Amino acid sequence: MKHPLSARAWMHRDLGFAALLVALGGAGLLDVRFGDWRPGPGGGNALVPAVAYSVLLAAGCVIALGRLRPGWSPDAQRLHVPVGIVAGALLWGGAFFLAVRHVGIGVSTTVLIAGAIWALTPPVDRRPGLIAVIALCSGLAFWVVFTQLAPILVASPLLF
Amino acid sequence: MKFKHLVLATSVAITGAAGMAAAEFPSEQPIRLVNPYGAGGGVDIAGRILSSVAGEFLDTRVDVISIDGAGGQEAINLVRDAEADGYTLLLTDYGPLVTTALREDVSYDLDEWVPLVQITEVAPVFFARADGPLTDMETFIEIARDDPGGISVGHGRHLSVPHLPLILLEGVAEFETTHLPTTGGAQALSFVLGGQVDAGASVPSTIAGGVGDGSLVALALATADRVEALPDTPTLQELGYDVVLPAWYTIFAHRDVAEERKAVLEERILEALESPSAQALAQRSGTDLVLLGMEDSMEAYQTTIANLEAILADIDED
Amino acid sequence: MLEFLAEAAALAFTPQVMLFALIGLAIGVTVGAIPGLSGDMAIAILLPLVFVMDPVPALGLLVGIYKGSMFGGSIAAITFGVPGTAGAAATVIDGYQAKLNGQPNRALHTALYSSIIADTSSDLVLIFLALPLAAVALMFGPVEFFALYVVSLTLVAALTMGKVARGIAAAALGVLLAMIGRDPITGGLRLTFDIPALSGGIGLIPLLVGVFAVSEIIVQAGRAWMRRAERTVASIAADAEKSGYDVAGDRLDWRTFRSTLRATFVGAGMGTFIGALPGAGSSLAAFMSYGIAQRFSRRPQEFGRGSLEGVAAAEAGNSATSGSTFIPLFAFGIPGSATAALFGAALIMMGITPGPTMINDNMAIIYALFIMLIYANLFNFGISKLLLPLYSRLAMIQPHYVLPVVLGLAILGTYAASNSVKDVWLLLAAGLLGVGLRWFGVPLGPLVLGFIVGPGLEQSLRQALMLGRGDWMHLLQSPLAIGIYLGTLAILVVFGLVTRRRALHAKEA
Repeated sequence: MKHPLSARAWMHRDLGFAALLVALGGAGLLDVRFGDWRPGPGGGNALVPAVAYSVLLAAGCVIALGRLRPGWSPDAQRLHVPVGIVAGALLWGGAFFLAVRHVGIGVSTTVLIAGAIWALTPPVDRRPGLIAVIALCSGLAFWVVFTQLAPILVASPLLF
Repeated sequence: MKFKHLVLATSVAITGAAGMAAAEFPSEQPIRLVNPYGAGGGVDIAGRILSSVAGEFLDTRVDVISIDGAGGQEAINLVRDAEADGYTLLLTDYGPLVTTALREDVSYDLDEWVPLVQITEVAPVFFARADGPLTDMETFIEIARDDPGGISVGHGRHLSVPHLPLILLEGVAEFETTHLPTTGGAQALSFVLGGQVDAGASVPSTIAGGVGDGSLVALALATADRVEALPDTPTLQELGYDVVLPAWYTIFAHRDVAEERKAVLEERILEALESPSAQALAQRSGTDLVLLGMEDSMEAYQTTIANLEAILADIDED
Repeated sequence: MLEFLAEAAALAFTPQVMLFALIGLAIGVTVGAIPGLSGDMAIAILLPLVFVMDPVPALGLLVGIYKGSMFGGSIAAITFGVPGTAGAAATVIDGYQAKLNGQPNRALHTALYSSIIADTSSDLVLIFLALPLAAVALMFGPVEFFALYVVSLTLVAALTMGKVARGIAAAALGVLLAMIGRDPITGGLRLTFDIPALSGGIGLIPLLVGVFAVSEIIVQAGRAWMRRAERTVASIAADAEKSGYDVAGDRLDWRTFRSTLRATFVGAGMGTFIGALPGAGSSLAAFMSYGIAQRFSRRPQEFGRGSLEGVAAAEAGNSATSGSTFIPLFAFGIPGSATAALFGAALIMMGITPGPTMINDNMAIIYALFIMLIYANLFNFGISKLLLPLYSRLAMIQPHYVLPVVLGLAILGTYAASNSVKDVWLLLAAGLLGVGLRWFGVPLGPLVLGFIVGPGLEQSLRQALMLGRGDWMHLLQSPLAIGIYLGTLAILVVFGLVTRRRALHAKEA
């Protein structure tokens, strides 16, 4: 959801990002200088990483300076994603993949997609029939595509 | 193998079903021939020749699977981690299997792998632009001796099949060039034709077109004998330099696969590749089938390991 | 030549061949639209068919798959923000934004028209100008490639107005991500943090699909979740919103179409040229076209916000590589891309050696291939024209029904592409990275471009230094490379001046 952030929160976020870039670039440059890099022909294998780290460092500084300048104001709306949704989506993805590999593609797809749609749909709008149809069709389509047309390697699943 | 049911399966499935009653090996499931390169390369084409004639001789389908991740290690690990039932085999040259194992930490020991059948032998070849100063190998070596590092050679990836003979040759003939790693034979060819690089090292299929129309000259081969694709190109041995380092494409099984199954596979695969239809396909695709059974390909495998150990030890000293 | 043309036409215009081309198109559009699966994969799988089929129908099938998958990738990019193929990565930027603005049909049609125009012109260049263009392409050695990569990164990183520093940071981050694994010169491991899974580097598909698609799915899921929380009572307004999309109101009219033509021509020219360079690739072509078209646009500020010009430029640049990618293969036997390598393998398996003598030796078959390249475009146009309204409606289905399906598809498609479990975890990690970058307001396009050109950039730089024996001045010893740098500088300066003058005019008005 896009929320207009206050100028101050905006600035904090930007400064945080700038700090992250500076830290990453700085740490990288230290690693290139003191870490274990194989020397090699054509500038060695640390050449391009070193350039990229320097660019990160410089970009971080530019962003930070730009934000600290007086008279600066936010120019766009910013993104807001609940942390729970991020974690939930990634966990769902991992669970889906494991289920496909160990339980079977048709069943996992149908059940997990139905569950996810159910969770995302406002309770007052939920139509079990529609959700079931979408989930079953997806399950069938996934089964056809990934076992018949472009088979994926799975440890022999329990179901199909 | 994707789209299996669309393509090969239907016909094979019908013939396969009849023989299913006695669950003889190999008949229960398709054989997966895993190779560590992207689709479309030499190893891939060699595998597909076998795949095209397999139904008749192996009583099952042979699916070629190309997995080029992690410098080929993903393909090797897939075969290693699969059940040792003879249904998952590895088709590779020595690069990912042997060179990498000698240079880096890998998950396997070299003696875990048992070669079943060598399909073909690939000849590393040096080449240059036909209108340039490098008209033959002698001239090449002379110029390189006079100006160490003055000649640049594009040779595919670092320590790849065409690169090692270059290293060996420099040791034997005592000269020095600038080695330019490229993404593969295609890039080496492009740079040589474009004049950015003086010479290249690759395999005959890469340069056959250019040699045919006279824009390229093939300087020398790092094999024991001349090859059919480049009949006028001398071997380095003929020129007095003892550099023989051909690359084999060989089918490997893990050593845990039962001996009877290995024997069955060896016999059936050889039979399939010796068939007239396989010979015809090989001819059409410009692949020289150089077939060796288990014993001989084991010897080739051991020799390669010994050779590579020596070369790599030399490099590491430098 | 004329009698060959007649013979070739007789080969290409049989019902059987045309049927195979159509089947190929259908397969291509399907696999192209599934993230992870690509036309190259389908072609690789069907390669053995050329052992058993006649050459011309077999080539027709492969051509159909190739063309279909290119457009299929763009459909997925616009409708769901999922770049179905690497070439469609630049299309996501404006195409998906246009869909979010409620204009999927317009964006899809813009993509179709620009693709077909660019593809056909590229095919014509292949047929009539292959040799001269191939000669130019051969002039690109390490020094020139390095110039091209640097320029593409500069153009694209500086795209997003007011976010130049972020764009450049994103590009550098993309380059760094591409450095993980083995270095291209000596094969030594680096930046793997002793994690074995990283020794092979990060694959393009997990990164591309993860950063663009998975992160977008997560953001959309967040929105759906918040709407869900807000909607405790069924409201009539929301029901109206549900059926609010009407294809008829989302037509691409002539004037709008005409306004995208300039971008299409920029893309067609740029894409055809970059496609002819061995190893450069369709995604680089798409991003370069996008970057340059923005500089030539009358409304550059709309790029990144659903600009149809942006869609046209990216799509034209992407599709224009499809003919010219064969130029190095046909002229010199150099497979310049994965697709060209596969067609090269197909030709080899038919007993035809790609290279300078190929066309003369196999005139009829090669001209039949040329004819098929052209008419496959027409077929593609016809089929897509019928299907696009359907896709547009599909695009506008309420997100909570679609998101889980698309995420599942992205996961299994990525897995199917490599059969590597690790790639699925990388996909989800890249999704998380994408959400983080969005949260900080970082443009994703430069990151992906940095990742795509990173390896080539490093390889060409180090090759150039090796050829120059360590002398950095070697990078400036090529007139062509200097031309590339100066040309880009000129474009940037002129663009800067024009933008400033427009801003002044706007103020006065």
